[in-house]
Amino acid sequence: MKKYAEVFRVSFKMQIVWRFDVVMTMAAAAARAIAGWIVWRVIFLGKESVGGFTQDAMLTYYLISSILRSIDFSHHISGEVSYLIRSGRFSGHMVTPVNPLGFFSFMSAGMSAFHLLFSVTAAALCAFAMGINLSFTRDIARILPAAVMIPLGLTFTASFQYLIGVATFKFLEIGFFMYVQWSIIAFVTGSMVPLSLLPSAVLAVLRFIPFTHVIYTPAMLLTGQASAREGLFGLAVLAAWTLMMMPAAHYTYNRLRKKYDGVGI
Amino acid sequence: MKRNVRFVLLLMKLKLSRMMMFRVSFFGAFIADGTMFIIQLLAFEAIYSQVDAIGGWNRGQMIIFVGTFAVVNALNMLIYFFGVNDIPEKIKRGDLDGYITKPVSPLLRVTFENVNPGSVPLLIFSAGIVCYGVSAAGINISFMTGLLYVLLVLLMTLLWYDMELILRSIPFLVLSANGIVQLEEQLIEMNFKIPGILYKGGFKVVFYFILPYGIMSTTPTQMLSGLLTASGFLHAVVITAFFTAFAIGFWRYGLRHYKSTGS
Repeated sequence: MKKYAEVFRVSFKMQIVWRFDVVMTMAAAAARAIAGWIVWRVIFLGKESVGGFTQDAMLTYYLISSILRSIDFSHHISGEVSYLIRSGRFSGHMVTPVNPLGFFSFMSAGMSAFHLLFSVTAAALCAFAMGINLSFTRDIARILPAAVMIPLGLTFTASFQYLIGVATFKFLEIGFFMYVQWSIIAFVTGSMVPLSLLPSAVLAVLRFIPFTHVIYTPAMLLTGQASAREGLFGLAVLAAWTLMMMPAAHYTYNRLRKKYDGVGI
Repeated sequence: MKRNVRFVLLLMKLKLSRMMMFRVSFFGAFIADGTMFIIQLLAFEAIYSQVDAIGGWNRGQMIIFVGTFAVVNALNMLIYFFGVNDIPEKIKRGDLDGYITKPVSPLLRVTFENVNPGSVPLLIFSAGIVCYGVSAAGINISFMTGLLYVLLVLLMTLLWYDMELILRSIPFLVLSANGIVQLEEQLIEMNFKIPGILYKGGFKVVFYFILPYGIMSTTPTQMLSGLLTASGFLHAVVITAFFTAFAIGFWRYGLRHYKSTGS
């Protein structure tokens, strides 16, 4: 565990070097929150509630989801793993006594931890500038599952993106597939629109997939729009998927690594 | 002129030959961007299941907006994106030497050397979204309206090119433009989700005049919906003319400061 803690620490410190990336993370969080504010402010003109949300609850949802999305760096994992395999530079990860899944997960966690403060700051500044009355729940039964789901969700997405990345051993060029899955994930995590606006039959299906509980469910819990029971259900679904995804990623890596020629293409 | 056209056609032929070596990736842009636009349509569908209009635009007009953005994006990918996108790396590595010393305009070559025929299906798909939007909005389009819409789409494609060229010419002066390109991505993503009609105050000034991403899909959509005023049309023409002149001037200025060394 000590070596993974070191990966986390180095990754955290490395972020200080990339100052413009920090600015960009803040800009991304702010841009999503501002986009939500511009659109929903117009939609709420003359309306008390839309889809069960008041205007303050909707804007708070967007602020929380923009923070959660901006601290999820797991998409870097699939890109980097794929690049390292194609360039023949993945060999370094095969010969060092560190599990690559653990390495990339903790690297991503270090990035998330560093950027969390800046994303929260950007969102808070947006809330202040746009005059949003933040609508958070004070119900501890909702806050607790949300607090567990956020790191668990990041762990799941890290494992999932690693699995996508190691597919490069077999398919070599997975660039467009990565873009496709990023677009789909952005939607099903609820970072584009709250999923409760979708037809109930669709939402009933989405409840059983893990991505829904990475952003949507924690944001709904923290704004008081979802019940504690729904939170516990989401937590159970996410935990089950994470427990399946980690060995699946590990197994896929061990199986496909034999195809690696180590010279790049 | 005739020589330049022959040169561009030759570049396209060479690119097509290269692309046929990677056939799976040939339709990559279509699949990746096509999915993105479908997802955006789904997001607007979810919102329109709760409301009748956003800022006075009905569901059909919003579909036209997404479709128009997709068309401009597809033209961008088809014609110049992969060429212009490489400019910062060429500056950094000193690769522009080979462009400057050839008896052809470096900008012409950079612009057209990486055309991407794989984006043709995306263009057709995007045009399909626009047609679906027109049908959903119940708009009757005259020949003249259709013609002016196509003209505006081409103008907005040129404006997008201008913005890309300006931002990617900055490394002539500062070497690295990674951050600026990231910022551009954020701005495009934001303006892809927000019709320009929703901007007010400072946002309108920024996205209509300074970084005119806000008009790129909005103005053609307004034209097709019969909502575009003469001043709105004139604004689009003047902004495009200004940014085209500025982009070419800035490229030439940057080229004069090109240090011709890798770093």
